[in-house]
Amino acid sequence: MAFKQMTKEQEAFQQNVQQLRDVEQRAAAWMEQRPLTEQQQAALDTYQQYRPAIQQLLKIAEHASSSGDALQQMQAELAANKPSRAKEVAAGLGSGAAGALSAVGHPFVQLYEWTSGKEIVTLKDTKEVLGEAGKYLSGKQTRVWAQAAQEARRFDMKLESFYESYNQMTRALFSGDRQQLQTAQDRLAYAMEGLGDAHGNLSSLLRQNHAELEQLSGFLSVSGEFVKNAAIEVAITITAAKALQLAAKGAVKALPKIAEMLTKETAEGAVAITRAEVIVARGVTAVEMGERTLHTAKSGYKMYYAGETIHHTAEQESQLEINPVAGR
Amino acid sequence: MAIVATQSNAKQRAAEAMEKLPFEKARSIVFAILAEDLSEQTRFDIMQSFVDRYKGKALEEIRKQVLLAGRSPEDFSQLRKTNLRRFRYMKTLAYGLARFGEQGFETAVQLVRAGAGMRMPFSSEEYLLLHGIATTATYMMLHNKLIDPAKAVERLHAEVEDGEVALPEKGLFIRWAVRINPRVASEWQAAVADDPALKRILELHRENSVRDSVPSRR
Repeated sequence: MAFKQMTKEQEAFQQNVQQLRDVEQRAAAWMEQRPLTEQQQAALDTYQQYRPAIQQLLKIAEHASSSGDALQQMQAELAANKPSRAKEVAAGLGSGAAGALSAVGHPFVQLYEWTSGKEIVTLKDTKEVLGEAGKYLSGKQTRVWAQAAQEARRFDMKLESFYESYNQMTRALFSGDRQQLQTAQDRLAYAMEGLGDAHGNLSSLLRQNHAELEQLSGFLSVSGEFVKNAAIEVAITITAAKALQLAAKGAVKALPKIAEMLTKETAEGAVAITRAEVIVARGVTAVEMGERTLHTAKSGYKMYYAGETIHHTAEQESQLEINPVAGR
Repeated sequence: MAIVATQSNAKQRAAEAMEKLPFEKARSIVFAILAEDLSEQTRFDIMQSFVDRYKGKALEEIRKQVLLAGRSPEDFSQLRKTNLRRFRYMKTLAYGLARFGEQGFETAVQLVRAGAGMRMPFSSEEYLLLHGIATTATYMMLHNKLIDPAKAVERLHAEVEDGEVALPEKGLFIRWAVRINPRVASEWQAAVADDPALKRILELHRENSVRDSVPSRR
């Protein structure tokens, strides 16, 4: 009964992602409304500071949901292939080979029947599909699929721990608690390490058994594609998670105020005062533009200086003889 | 004697790992050894063997290690004073990149670009350690004539004109270009006319190349 079931962490993950999306949407709405009250402007400024972290969290959420899409595609392909395969088996009843297939039960048909009516939504489901598929295979294929099922199982566990740490990270960002943020970062680092191992194992499985995976047809190729996608997905997730770690490192202030301020009601209130203050806003914009120009000129100097210190060190350290790589 | 033994032992351990183990395992061991407290020459020798043996795979591995070790928003110059061992490791990575010439230069450019995505949102530092590693690698290539200076300036110009490249990275690419050809400070003025920060950077390069000195921090 694993199908359609979501773990608490996955549910919390969806909720957290929705909360982040809400903040993004409301902030976007505010950006189009000028002028804002001092309080609103302060909230929007704080949001701007957190924007990279929020966007990294949303990016990771996209990657995480892509695994669900891959599994849905797998299910759709299973359903789409069934009639032709069943027909093929039925039409070949007279021949020895097809007859034998029919007698033992063609793996595709067997598996389809087994999954019929079940919705594959999680990696856990795929793990079970892979496990079931293993029953109908022979020789080296069995070993490959047993390994794939094992890796899917491990990956599932690691992903669960990733969801957990993702949620902790989101909660920590919203609470503004330094200690909580540190703990969340540590847990995320640990989960990433696990995902890294899972990625390595999946990649190595694909590399070592490429021929077997290529030979497998029908539903097996679809599942093979999933394993391949999973490996890619883990790689992307790790990259995104690393970026998140970096984004979160700087997040020492609290997000709750932004979440609180960026409520629908407040945003609607802002619309009401927009018209009366529009002329003032234009003036403010002009001043802001002037300040921005001054700021960028100052940052030009700062960058120049930082670049110069790198330049001088690099210049001193580069004075050595190097032979190019031979035979490239 | 103990230090000499350690250095020789490090080379031997790295050589054995590369000889006996598959690449995936050997690379972890080699880079762990490179991070040990070794002399610069020992590190360079190990890196040289690694690059000569694995070539393209080695370049990819060095790129990954630069991303890993260079993500910290520290002052590259300060690191030399505060942690020489770590600084030497960074320099060894630069040495590895430099040996690839044109390919290494392209990797250095891409690494600098990647730095934009790794900068912390509230950091006051413009540059990460990887910017220093990439710069050292590029200067090593230039010093040893492993890249064509004219082509390099052309490549850097494309980066400065690319709207997707962040301001600090453009600033560093300008620094590299000025290092290759000081006339760039005047010639590129028109290309950055719309950007006050870049315009200021070029002005400062032009002024200070005349004075041949760097002003103190304001």
